[in-house]
Amino acid sequence: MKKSYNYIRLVAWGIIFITFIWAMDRIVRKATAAVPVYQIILEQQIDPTALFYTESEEAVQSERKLIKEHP
Amino acid sequence: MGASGRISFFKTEDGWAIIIGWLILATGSILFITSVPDDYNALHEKYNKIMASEGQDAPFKTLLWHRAFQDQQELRSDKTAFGQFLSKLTGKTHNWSINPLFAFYQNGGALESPEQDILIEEQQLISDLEKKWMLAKDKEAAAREAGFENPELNLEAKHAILEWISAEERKDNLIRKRNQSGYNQVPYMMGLFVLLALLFGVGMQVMEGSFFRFFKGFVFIFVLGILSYTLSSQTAMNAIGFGYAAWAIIIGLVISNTVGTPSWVKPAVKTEFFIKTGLVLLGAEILFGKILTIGLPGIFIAWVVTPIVLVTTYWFGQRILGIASKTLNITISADMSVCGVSAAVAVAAACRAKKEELTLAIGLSMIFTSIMMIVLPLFIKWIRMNEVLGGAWIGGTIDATGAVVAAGAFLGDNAMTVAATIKMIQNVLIGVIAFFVAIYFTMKVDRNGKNKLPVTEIWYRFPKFILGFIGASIIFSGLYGLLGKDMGYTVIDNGIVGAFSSDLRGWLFCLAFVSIGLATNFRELKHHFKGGKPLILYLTGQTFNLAFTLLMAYVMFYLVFPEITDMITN
Repeated sequence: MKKSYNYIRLVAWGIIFITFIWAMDRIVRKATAAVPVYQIILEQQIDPTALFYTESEEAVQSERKLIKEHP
Repeated sequence: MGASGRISFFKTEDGWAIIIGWLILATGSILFITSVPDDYNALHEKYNKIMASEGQDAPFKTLLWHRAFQDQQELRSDKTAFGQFLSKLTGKTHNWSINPLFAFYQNGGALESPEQDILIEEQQLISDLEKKWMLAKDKEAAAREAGFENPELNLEAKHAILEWISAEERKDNLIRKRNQSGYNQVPYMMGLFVLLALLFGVGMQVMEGSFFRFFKGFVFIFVLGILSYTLSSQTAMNAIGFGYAAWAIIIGLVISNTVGTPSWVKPAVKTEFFIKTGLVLLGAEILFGKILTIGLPGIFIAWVVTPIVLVTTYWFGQRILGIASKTLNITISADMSVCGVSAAVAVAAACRAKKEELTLAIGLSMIFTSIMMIVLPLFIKWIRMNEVLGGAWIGGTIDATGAVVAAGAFLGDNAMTVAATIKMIQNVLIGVIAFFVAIYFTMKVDRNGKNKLPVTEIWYRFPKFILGFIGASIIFSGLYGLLGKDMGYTVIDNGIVGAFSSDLRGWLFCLAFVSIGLATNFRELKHHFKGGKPLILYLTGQTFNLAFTLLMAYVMFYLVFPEITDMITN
């Protein structure tokens, strides 16, 4: 009984996550116009979740640009 | 070191983290360095000559200069066939919006998003681009005819060229969106699974004689890792900064706190092993040469403010808030003052913090990063703060690098460059801070009341993977110096590190976060949050960080080095 209850809890969490992603997708789509940073992230395809600079193409390119423009 | 010392080194996770990490880095180095096309050196030289000669002739960057710059950017090791293969092998899931299958597989012709509006926008941009290109060409020709002596003509040409570049970037972004070629990530992921299972399995066999038990559990951990990456690459999750680290911990937590972590998975729940190996790989990404990019103002902002904020926050946590766990205190302090998740992971491993403490620090960082990423640039724009100052403020205070880039991009190109560069300089601090935290905890905190520890005891307690981490950083900084900035960009930034080890490090962190979740109990996590002290610590530290970074950025960019601010702005 306890085992099946635990599986129900696991499935419930799965449903919560799917609903969360679905809801956030709706919100972000609607909020894009109002939140300019989201607009930039989506337009320029920036990855704001990059933890470190080597994961971020833009960070590396920015540094490169600075080196080349001001040697 | 005696024979017994050698045996114990090969029987420890620290030892195997160094062996696996360095093996990956050495293999990557050999493969990428030997596969660089022969003409790359000559091409770099050619483009540098064009840029130097154009830079001498004109007081602004000419069209030819920009063309040479753009062509030079394409000289990357990850563009070669071999580089592309390694990049795909270690690659993450692709972005998707509605259909999660697109994270792994997409037929070249079937694109997910509605294309009509993109096509119309692209047509408009192309015609706009042609006009801007012609205008830039005419303006530059006029300025050149006047021998670049007429400041008005020079300024007009400069602005026309910048407008053409920005239009071209917009067009490139659109084309990138439309022209997604088909992909099938599944075989590469299977290859990556085999590679990681073998590397860590051999380590586990030598340490515990448990290759097959590890292998069985690793299948489960790896699948959860893929699931975490898949969820984080959903467009909205990506936009709000809900990354793989958060998903990995949450998925692990939910499983362990509902149905429980299956017993056959437990031999592969090796949080420390994955983290330590990931950190050895991270060492190769910390290149000391990067700190020279924007010179002294950046160094002051990143290297003076950050340690002061770290020590002050730690002191505040101990003395004022009375946080019971020193390891929790230092992990949150480092996470908030340096660069979020990467710093939290490094410092937590250095001071041997508990899994729940690292989870808490990562959670706080992610929540505040996604808020600050939106609020801080809006505030900067609202009060009309200068771009360079705003960029420096963002770079010094927002935790994650990707969020720094996004927030900086909102203010403009210069702000993004300054923000990203200051973050890079700050990132370099991770190794130094982890090293000193390891020393401090070994010699001061973990003494267990003993007055003085013998040197052998200090060595015994010291987390030795830190040496692998620092060693990788020193070797790769030296290699970058040897190759030079151009070939370093080609082979390291966009090869060994950018297309190989950094992605592998991401996977290892992801597997570590899954393991953290699988080994954490909600109740223990709740216990650490008692009285909201970690939240108060983070908020107080971040407030001090915001104030002190802004003050230092103002002093450095306006009072002490105004010429550097002018250089960046012009």
